[in-house]
Amino acid sequence: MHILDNYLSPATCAVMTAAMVPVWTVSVRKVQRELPNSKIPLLGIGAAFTFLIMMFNIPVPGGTTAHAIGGTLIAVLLGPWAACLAVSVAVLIQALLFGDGGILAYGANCFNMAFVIPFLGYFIYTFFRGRVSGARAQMFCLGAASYLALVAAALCVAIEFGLQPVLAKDAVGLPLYCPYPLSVSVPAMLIPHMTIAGFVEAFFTVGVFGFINRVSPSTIYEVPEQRIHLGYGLLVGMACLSPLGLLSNGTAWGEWRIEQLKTMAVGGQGLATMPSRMVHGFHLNVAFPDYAVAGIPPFLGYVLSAIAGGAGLIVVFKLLGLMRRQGAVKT
Amino acid sequence: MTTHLPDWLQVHEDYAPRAEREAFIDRSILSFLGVLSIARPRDGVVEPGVRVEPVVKILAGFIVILLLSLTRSALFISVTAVGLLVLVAGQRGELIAAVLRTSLISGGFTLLTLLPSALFGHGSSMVMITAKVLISAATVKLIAETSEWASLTGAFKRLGVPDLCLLVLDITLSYITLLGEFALAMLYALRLRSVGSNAAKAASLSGIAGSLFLKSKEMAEEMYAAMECRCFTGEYRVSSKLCLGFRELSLGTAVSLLAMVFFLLRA
Repeated sequence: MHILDNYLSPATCAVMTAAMVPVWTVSVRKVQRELPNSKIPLLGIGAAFTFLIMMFNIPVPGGTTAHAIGGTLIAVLLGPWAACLAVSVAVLIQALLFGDGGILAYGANCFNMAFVIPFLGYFIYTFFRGRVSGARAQMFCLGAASYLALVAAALCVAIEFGLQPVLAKDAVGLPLYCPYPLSVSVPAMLIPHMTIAGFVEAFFTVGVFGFINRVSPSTIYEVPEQRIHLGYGLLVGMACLSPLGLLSNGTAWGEWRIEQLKTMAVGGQGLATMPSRMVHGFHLNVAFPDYAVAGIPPFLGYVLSAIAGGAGLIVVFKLLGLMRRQGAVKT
Repeated sequence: MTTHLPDWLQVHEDYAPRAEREAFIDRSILSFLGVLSIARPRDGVVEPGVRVEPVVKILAGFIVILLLSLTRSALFISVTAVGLLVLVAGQRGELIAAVLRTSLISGGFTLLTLLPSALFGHGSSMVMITAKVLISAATVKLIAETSEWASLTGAFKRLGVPDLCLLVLDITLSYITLLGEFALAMLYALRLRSVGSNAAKAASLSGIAGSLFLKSKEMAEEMYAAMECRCFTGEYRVSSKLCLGFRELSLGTAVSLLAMVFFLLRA
C-alpha cells in the first residue's frame, strides 16, 4: 500500500498533498476542540500503536503471512480525526526513518491510508451499526467496514498508478512514472486486496476490537450523535473519480462538435457537406467548455467542473425546497 | 515411610507433539526486532565533528528527491548518484551497509514490479525509474541514519509544523520502542506457552494487539501526569540558534550546483 517516490509524478504528488492539507487542518482543529488535554498523549501513543500494528504477521492460507493496516480499528478506537493524525504521523515515520513509502508521495500515502481508510471505515461502520441489532451483527458491520475501506484505498492507489501513463509521458510517448495503465493497475491492486489483505484486515479489526470491547469497553471512542449524509459522501467520491472520463479517447455518440463531424467517416468516406443549421446554429459560450478550465491540468478541470456542477445542483434543489416549504406555510 | 507413585504416573509416555511452523510468530518477532533495532534511542549516533544542521539536511534531501523525480535525463541521475556516493563514502561502515541495504531493497522491489513493463517496450523507463527509486531511498536513509530523532523534531519546528503534530511525532518516536518491547515480550510468551500444534495460537494475536492498545492507553495517562508534573503543555520552543557553518554551506552549494545541472540539461 505504501507508494515509493518516482512511481507518481510530482504533479500528482502535489495534488494529493494539496487534497490532504484541509483534512489535516480540520483534523488538528477537531482534535484540539474535542479531545481534552489529558487525552492528547494518547494521539502519539496511538500513532506508535498504529505503526506497530503493521508488524504483526497474520497467517493466511498457503503458509504465508500478511499484515493489517488497522486504519478502521484506530478510527473506531480513537475517532476518525484523531486516527487521521495518528496514521499520518505513523506514515511519516515509516517514510523518513524506515524508507517505507516516499517523501514526495507522502501526501498520496496519507490520502490512501490516513484519509480513505479511517474515514470510510468509520463512516460505513457508524452508518450500518445503528441499523442492525445484536453484537454479532455489529461485529460483522465492523469487519465489512474495514474490508471495504481497505479495498477502497487499494482502488485509490490503483487509480493513482493507472493515471500516470496518461498524465506523464516523454516526447516519444513512453511513461515517465508508473508505466501500467488502469487495465493492469486496478486488477493488480484489487485482486490481492479483495482476496487476502481485505480479509486479514477484517479479521484483525474484529478480533482486536472484540477483545478491547470485552476487557475494557470504556476505552472505546464514543460516537457523537449526528446525522450522516450518505448523499454528500457519494457526491464527493464521484467528483474525485470524475477525471476517469479523460481516459476514453472518443466523444460520446451523438455529442460531436462540428470539427469532429468533419473528420468522421461514413461508409469509408468523410462527410461531403456539413448540415448548415449546425454550422450556423446557436453556439453558447460556457464557463467550463468540455469540463476544462484554462490554465490548469485537464484532470483538475474535471474535478473543479464536478464540484461546481454538484454544488450548483445542491443550491438549486435547496432553493426549490425552501420555496416549497414557504408555499406550504402560506397555504 | 515409603511413598508409592500411582499407576497412571508410572506408565511410560512417548509424547511427541505435532510440530508447528509458527511462521507467523517468528515473522512477527523478526519484524519487531527489526523495528526496535532502528528505533532504539539514537542519541550520540552522530559524532559532533560531522553534524549538519538537520533542517538544512531535510531541505537538501527534499530538493534532491524532487529534482530526481522531475528529471528525464540519465546524465542527471548519474551525477546525483555520484554525488550521493561521495557523501556515503565518508560515513562509517555500519551506516554504509544500512544505506545500501535499504536502497537495494527498494530498488530490487521496484525492478521486480516493473519487470513486466519491459515486455510492453518500456525497458528504458523501467531502468530509469528503478535508478531514481534507488537513489531517493538512499538519500532518505542517509538523512535518517545521520540524524538524532530529537533533532528531527526541532527541524520540523523550524519548518513551521504545528506543535500538536510535533508532540504527537515526539511521543510516537519514544513509544514505538516501549510498546514494541512490550509486544515482543508478549510474542515470546505466546511462543513459550504452548507446545506443539495449537489452533488457538493465531487467534491470540488479536489479544496481544488488544493488550497493546490498553497498555498504550495506560502509558498515555502516565505520560500526561508526567507532563503535568513538569509543567509541559505541549508547546515547543527552539532553544538553540540555527547554526550555518562550513558543512551547511558546502551542502547548500552542492545542491545549488545540482539544481544548475538539472536546469542546464533541461534547457
